This record gives sequence, C-alpha cells and structure tokens, in this order.
Amino acid sequence: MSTSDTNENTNPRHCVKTLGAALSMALAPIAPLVAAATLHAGEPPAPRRDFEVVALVDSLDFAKDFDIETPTGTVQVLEHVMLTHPTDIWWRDKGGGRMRYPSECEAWQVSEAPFDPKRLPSEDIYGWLRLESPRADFWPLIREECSRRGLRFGIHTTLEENHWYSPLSSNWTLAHPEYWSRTRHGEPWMGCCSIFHDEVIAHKLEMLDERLAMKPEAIMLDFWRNGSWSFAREYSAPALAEWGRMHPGEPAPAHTDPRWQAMVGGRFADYLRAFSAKCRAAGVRFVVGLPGIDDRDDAALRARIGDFGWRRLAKEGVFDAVYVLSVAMDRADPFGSTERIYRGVREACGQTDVYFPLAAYNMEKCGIAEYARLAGITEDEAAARLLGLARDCGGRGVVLECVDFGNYKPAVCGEIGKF
Amino acid sequence: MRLKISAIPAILACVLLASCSAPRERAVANGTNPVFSPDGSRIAFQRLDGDVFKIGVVNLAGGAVEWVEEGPGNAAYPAWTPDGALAYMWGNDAGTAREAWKKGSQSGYGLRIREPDGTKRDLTRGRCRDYTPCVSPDGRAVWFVTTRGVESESASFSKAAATRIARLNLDWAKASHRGTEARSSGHDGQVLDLNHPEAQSRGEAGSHAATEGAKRDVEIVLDAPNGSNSGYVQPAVSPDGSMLVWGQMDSFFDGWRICGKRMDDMAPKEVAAKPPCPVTPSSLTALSPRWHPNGRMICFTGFHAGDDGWGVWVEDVYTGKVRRLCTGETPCFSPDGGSIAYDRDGMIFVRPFGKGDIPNETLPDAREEDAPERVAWGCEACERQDQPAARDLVANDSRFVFGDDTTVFIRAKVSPGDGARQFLTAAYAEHPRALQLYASGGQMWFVSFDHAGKFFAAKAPVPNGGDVRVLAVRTPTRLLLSLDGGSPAVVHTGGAIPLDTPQRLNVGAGAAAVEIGTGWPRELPKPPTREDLFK
Repeated sequence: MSTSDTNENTNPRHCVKTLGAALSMALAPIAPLVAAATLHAGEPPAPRRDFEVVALVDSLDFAKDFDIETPTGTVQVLEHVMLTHPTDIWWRDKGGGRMRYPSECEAWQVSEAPFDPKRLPSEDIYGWLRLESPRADFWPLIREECSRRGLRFGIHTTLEENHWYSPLSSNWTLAHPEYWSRTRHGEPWMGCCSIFHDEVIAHKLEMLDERLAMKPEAIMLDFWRNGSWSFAREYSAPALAEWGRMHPGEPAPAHTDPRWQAMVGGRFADYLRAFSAKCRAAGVRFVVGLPGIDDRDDAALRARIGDFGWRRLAKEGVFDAVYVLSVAMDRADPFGSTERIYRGVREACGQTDVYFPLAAYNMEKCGIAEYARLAGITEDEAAARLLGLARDCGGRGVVLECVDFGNYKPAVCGEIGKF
Repeated sequence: MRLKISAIPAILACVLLASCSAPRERAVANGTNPVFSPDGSRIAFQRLDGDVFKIGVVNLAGGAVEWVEEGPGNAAYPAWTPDGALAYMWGNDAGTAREAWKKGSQSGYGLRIREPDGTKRDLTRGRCRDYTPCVSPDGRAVWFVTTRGVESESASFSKAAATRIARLNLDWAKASHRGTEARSSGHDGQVLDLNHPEAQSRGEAGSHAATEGAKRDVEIVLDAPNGSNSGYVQPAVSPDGSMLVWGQMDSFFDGWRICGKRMDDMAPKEVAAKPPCPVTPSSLTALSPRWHPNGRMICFTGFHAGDDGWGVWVEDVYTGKVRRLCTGETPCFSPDGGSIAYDRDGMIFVRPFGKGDIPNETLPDAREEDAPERVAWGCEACERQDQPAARDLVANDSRFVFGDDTTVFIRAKVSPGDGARQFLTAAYAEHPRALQLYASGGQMWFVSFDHAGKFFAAKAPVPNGGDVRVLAVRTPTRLLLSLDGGSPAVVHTGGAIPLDTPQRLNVGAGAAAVEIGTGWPRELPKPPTREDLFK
C-alpha cells in the first residue's frame, strides 16, 4: 500500500463547460483544428454514386456475433454489412448516453454502471461493453476500412443523449439535474435535458465538435431515436420564462397547443441551424433522419417530437439531406400512398437531397415485409419496388435502417445489389 | 462592463458562501463517496485515478492517505464494519464482454472485505454487479444491491427490476472464509458463489458453493413489484437495526426517491403484503441515504426543482421536514453526528452538523392515491341494450374530459369468454384508442398512451371461470389492472396523454356493468406512507 495524495481534480462527473450564449457561439467560426483535420483527412472521400445505399450500423447490435471491442471484430461487422451492398456506412457514435468512442465530454469511466449510483445497469453482454473506452477506439480504423472498400463513412448520432429511458442517460445529464427536462406538471425527469438552457445546447454542440474531429463525410441526426424527448418535456424554467414573455399572465398550455409548439419549435429550429452551421464550417454534410412522414401533416412525427417545421427548414437549406426513415402509408394502397408521400417530400425539400427507407425491420409497420404482406408479393419483389419508387420519385438513394446481423435477407440484398 | 481585479476575491468568497450554507467546510481529500470510520478519525473514499477506481482511507488528523485497493481492477463504494474492516465493491473485468459471455466468466463486480489487519477476502462474485454495500450496526450482515437473477437486458420496458436488494450474513461468511485470502489480480479466492446451480435452482437466493449444504445465508430481500422495472441503490440500516432505507426508482420514467421498510417486514410474505413506502417527498429527487446516529435523520443526495445542482440534504424521517445543506453528493454523518462529509466536484469535504442544520422545510408531497373517487358515468346492465358492440354512448361529453394530471378508473364486470373480446374503447381527438380494455390470448389488457403517443399496456392473466371483475386505472404516471380484487399489475408510463376532446365511448358485448370515474378507486389499497413507517 502506498501513502500519497494529490490535489488534481480527477472526478469525471463534471466535464468543464464553457457556458454562455451557446447559439451565438455555435454560429461563430469553429475551432480551426477541427476544420483543418477534416479538410486534410488522409484519404480522399469515395466518389458519390448516382444512387446511394446508406447502411446505418450500430455495432452494439453485433455484440453477440463478433467481438466488437477488438479491431478484428469491428472489421467483421463491416464485412457483414457489406453483404447489403452499401455505398455509404453511417456508424453509430453512441448508444443512449454511453459513447462509442473515448469522449472528453462524456468520460467513459462513469458511463459504466455501477460507478455512478444514479445509473441503473444494463445486464447481459450489452451492459458490459466498453465501446467508449480508450481500448476500443476504432474510429480511425473504421474510416480507413471504409475508404479501402470505396465506402463513404459517416456518423449516425441520436437526437438525445439517452436511448429511451433514464438508465441510459448521459453522464452530463446525470451530473446536471438543474437542466433536466420537465413535464407540464413540473416533474423533472433525469432522462434528458431541456434545450431552453443555453448550457444544454452548448454541451450538445461541444459533442458535435468531437464528432466532426473524426472526419466523417456526414453526420446524421436521428429523430426516431429521440430518447423520449419531445416538446412535452420542455416545461423547464427558462422555457416557462420565455412563455411568460410571449404570453404575459397566461399559464403554460398543454404541449399540443399550437403556440407552445411554435415556441419550442422555434428554439429547436435554432439548435438545428447551429448544428448545421458547425457541420458546414467543418465541410461535413448535415443529414436528418425523420420517422413517421405522411402526405398530410406528419402526425406521427409531431406526436413523437413536436412541430418544428422540418419542411420549412429543408427549403431553407438547413439540411444537406433528409433521410425518410419511415412513412405512414395507407395500408389499403401501400405503394400508391408511399409514392404520394415520397413525391411530397421531394417537392418539399427543394435542393436538399432526399433518401427513402428500405427497412428490414417492421417496427413502424412499414418495413419491406409489411409491403410484401399487404401487396401479396415476396419480400425481394417488395424491395425492388421500393428501390424503384425511391429512384423514380427523385430520391438520391435509400437508407437501410438499420443493418444488423442477418436482418436483410439474401434475396433482398440481391435486389439491392442489382439496383 | 469589466470587473475590477480587486473585486474578484470578494466574488469568489460569495460563490463559496453561496455553494454551502455553512462556510466551515474543509477539504480532506480528492475523491467521492466518503464514509466515516467507526471511531470518526478516518474517512474511506473512492477515487478515479486514470482508468481505475481505487479506495483509500484518509486520516482526518494528518491528512495521510492509505490505499486499500489501487488496481488492477476497480474498487468503489466503501462501507465500514463496526470492528474497522472495510467492505466494498471490487472487480477486475479485464477481458472483452463477448469473451466473458462466451466462457461464462465470473469476473463481474462482487463484494470484498478488507480486515483491519489488511487481509482481504472476496465475499461474492459472478457475472453480475454487487454494489453499494452497507454493514448492519451489529456487524453481522452486509446489505447491498445486486443484478443477480435479473433478466437479461434489464434496461427495457418489458423486463423486471434492474437491481435488487440482497443481504449476506457476514458472521457466517467471515467464519467460512477464515484464512482464505483473495488474490489481488483475480477472483481466485474462495467466495460465495450465488451463480452456483444449486442457488439458481432455487430461483433467487444464493448459497455457499464452497461449503456443503444449502444454508441460506445470502438472500434477495427486495425485488421489483409485479410488472415494474424498478431499480434500487444504496441500502442503509438504521442505527438500531430496525429499519432499512434505500434509493428507489420505480420505473425508467420516474426519478430516484428514498423508500423504507421495517426489518420485521422483510420476510417474503411481508414484502408482498407491506410494500416499501416513500420516505422523501415526491417533489424531491433523492438517493444514497445514510443515517444520523440518532436514528431520526437521514442525509442523502438530492435535487429539487430550482436548485443549482445536486445537493446534500437532510430529512427528519419522523416529521418529513427536509433541508438542503449545500451543493454536493453522497453525504455521510460522523459517528457522533456532529459532522457530515460529502463530495463536490471530485473533492471530499467535512463540515460541522449542528442545530442550525436541523431540517425545517416541508416540500410538496403529492400522492396519486389521495385523490377521492368520483364516478362520472356508469351503466348497470350494459349487456341488455341492443347492439351493444356498436353503439356510441358518449360524444363530446364533458364528464369524459380527463386531463393528463387526472387519475381515471374503469370498473367493470366482464365475460371474457374464449378468444379476443373488446370490452371498452374510448376515442378522443387526441388518440382514437386512448383507453382500451380487452381480452386476448388469455390475458386481460388495459391499454393507453403517454403524452408522446407511446403505447403502454397493463395486462394480467384472465382467471378461469365466468365473469371477471376488472379495475383498470390510469394515473398521471401509471397504468394499473386488477382482476377479481387481486394485486394489480402496474406499468409506469411517466406521463399520460391528455384526454380533452371525447369523441366516442364504445362498450362492447361481454361488458355487463361499467363505471368510469376519476380519483383513486376505493377498493384499491393505498400504499403505506412515511407516517405509517415512522410512528
């Protein structure tokens, strides 16, 4: 045993943040280092294809198939994904609050349960992975291996620093209850923070800097994986103060009130603009992945998140691409209604690239299997029709949301390859 | 406007004063999770050093630190025994997760004890997490939380508890392992193996695999209630040994709250009949409790809306009054009760605890169960009406406006019959199937949605026989479903969809009598209160 003590502050709970006017900070020129690293990446990016197949990959989902905490396992994941004939691979950077790279903002040690008593553990193999630790820092390897295969490499990140529920909150969120989201009845929830706190926006953008430093082609912000955050959880003190300024003397209404939607939507749109500005400054494309799109009012997306006017933002040029992750099709006319939705999205997005879904999973009842079932055709036939629809409706490509071990059937992969 | 340089010290002083109501705190070491030794002269703590959590003991008189565990492996959550030994969590998970999974590795986080003479022994091991130990005042048992026996991927909506509370007989454990020293690099010492087949065959409690017989010396004493995905952390035994308090999260959409239970009620039957009761107010996020030696107060990590961050809180558990002492976490009282230690920003502080710190504030403490029952609508012989499955009973009726802060109940007598049967569907502009009651696949289902439109269902097996009495309750945060007066299935939703615009209420065939109302149904037992626990 030794007898010593030091005076350094070694607690990772409190990643030091620069507070203040986060939004204006974000719109200012970003750190030159990030930009330089991005623009002088070792390998030239793979050329863009006429029609792109973007595979979203969450390596954690391969944990029982390959040893994803090793370089070999990581390459095996990549090889498996290649079976779906992708042109682009967007690698997930976090699972819930646990990062999949060594992060300064979200120090890995206390990400692991049970080192912060506020975090409940995940069991089975997933709770024991340390993809955020220095020993599993494979991002340069992934980028290099993608380049060797002629693939473009991007980052798939989630809207919230949480997956669905509080055990997967980020370290930063757990350390800062003062920023927690609240419902209209005032209950704070440790699952996510309110975007009406400048510090929260600053933290999100600080994490974006870390991702930009990895030199991706694009960063996709995933609105399906929203970590249970929505406009219904934005009744924080600064949000209520803002409401009071806009509507003196009037109590905050239900989150479905159009005025509440407009207020929170405006703040959220500002965050997306700031996110976009940082990406642009670093030469990285900014992509949003949107679920529940229809040809009326995107009711499913509004229920899930809120109304932030994504079509207006697309027209404004905030996004470089829109990935439609799922559509609320008419089940009596699956392909016809899907075509109407696709054309509506294409029209709404102006110059912004659009990608349409080719989903092996059927979670939103609009996967390949669902089209096949409703139309009475095989899955490979359904896949071929969806690919054709995506192209014919002006799509830049399709997005495979998401590629797991063996979830895209060989016949479907064959159709993708043919296309 | 620029600050004058001369003003900075004054501002810093103000900041320091603001951060702690009593400025007499003194820093004693870098680290977290401090606990006073039995004689109050030392504090054990943990520190993250590089990649390793290690445990040290600082002498309060001179400031020297003795390291108890400093790697390889991680050590955390120290807890003293009355005779000066230290129990703590320790594990050396060196391989990859898949390697461990494939070979059935036991290298999780177990409990280790370090005797005053420096001897170390592993008390538990397994591919699990045993953590936040607390030694009973008589030194005969260690209480801790564990992931043993929980279903895989516990962090999901559909599975049971993420952690349970367990107890290990320390007398017996010490005697059994006398002379068996743990190796510092692995789990090769003789240990209690709760994953032993014999232990697993009993479904819950562990056994001592290293000795013959099945003496039941380690047991799971508290698990999640029916259908809940609760989690527990940091149990603490009261100074007289009569009470246990701990941090509890009822679901992943709820926050931490300190709950408690009498030791007399820890037998399995008693646990079911007398559920834990909340000790801290509902408006306070609270965890990691420790007792004051007077057995009347606890200190804990807490947060209340409006605070600037986590705080050191104290509560008089008999009056329910609380006080926030200062910014910090994981507080612990000294053995004489005259000091309190805590950590803040990776530094451990000690400050006096005196009369001026006595809890004096009452915080809002709402209970969903306190809203009185009020029947809004009912039909006594629904089945006799014509075409019951298709009729619209209600449209735009203000009696059916239920805000997201309102508890709604459906009381019905139904005939499940065979196959699927829809008994009730309430359609609102906010959701076309906002409330549903139906039988399918041998289960009764009560379905609703949260404020973001996410599906939630409480379900229970349909009893054999004829009619079933159904009680379905939607509170602002939960769905409950009780059949024939049985214990309700509970699902936490974290938020309810507001039902402001009723459109249609369909009562289907097979629903013989239906009542819909607001408030807590009279026949549903109310959980015990803090007042019940601390009389």
